[in-house]
Amino acid sequence: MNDNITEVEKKGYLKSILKKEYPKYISKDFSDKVMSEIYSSQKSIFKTYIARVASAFVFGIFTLFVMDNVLKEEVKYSETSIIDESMVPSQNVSTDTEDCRKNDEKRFTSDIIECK
Amino acid sequence: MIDDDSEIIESILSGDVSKYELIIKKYQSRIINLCFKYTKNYHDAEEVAQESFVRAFKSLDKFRYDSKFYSWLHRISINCSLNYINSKEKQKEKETISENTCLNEQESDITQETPYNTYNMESIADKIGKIYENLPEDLKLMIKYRDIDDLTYDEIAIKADLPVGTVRSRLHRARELLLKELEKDI
Repeated sequence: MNDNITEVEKKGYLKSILKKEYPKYISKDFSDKVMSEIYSSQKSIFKTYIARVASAFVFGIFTLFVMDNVLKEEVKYSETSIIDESMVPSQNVSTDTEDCRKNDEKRFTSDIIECK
Repeated sequence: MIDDDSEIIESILSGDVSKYELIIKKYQSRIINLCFKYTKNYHDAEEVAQESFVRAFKSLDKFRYDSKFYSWLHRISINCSLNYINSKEKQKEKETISENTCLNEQESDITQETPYNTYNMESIADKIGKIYENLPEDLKLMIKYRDIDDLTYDEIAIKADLPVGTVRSRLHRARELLLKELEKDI
């Protein structure tokens, strides 16, 4: 690989010289600088990827936890029955229908007496 | 020499990132020279060229083989150079550079261009140029067709009315003579 790189480098220089497309100076470590920048950018991409996966995982766990608590919450029953609670007797209202009839009868009888 | 860039690109895309160094070595000289035309400064030209190579690497999967890889890289480098010019102009609008900072910049440029960490391409090109001029005509023609005019072996064979094998062997001989000189400096 190294021999190949050196060969490619020399032929690259040769071509640029023959084409008259060469700069006055070239840093000897130019390719090393570029490669190190590429490797460091790749590391940051990998770190971002890991951070994304981790945040997705945490979000997933949190969602599962919330869903588990919301959907599986047990129904809490009161100790007293609904019938007992609604059948509390009222004090001011009479449910006896016969009372009304008796009143009406009383009224009619009173009228008759007056006419007499 | 690996002439076929597509092979290198395929291996980079399949995970062998180290192969990108071949691309850099192959084109660094021409790309830095292109960037220098815009930056007019060797230090900045290398920085812009570096950015161009990194940007090309990041969007390598978008290269569709419609054109030569060098043409694609060339276009990226021009865009990076234009971005550099725009940012430089904006910087100039914001800052007023003092004489002291100018002097410091010049000093740092001189220290960076020592022969220890740079290749002096002009002196290398002078030596190579002389050898090229003194090559036998048939070898010189092969170099011209292949390395300067970018013709394929088949096209050279048709143009020079020679078998492809002869074209290859002549080109190999001519390059060997030139590379021998280049090896002394690089």
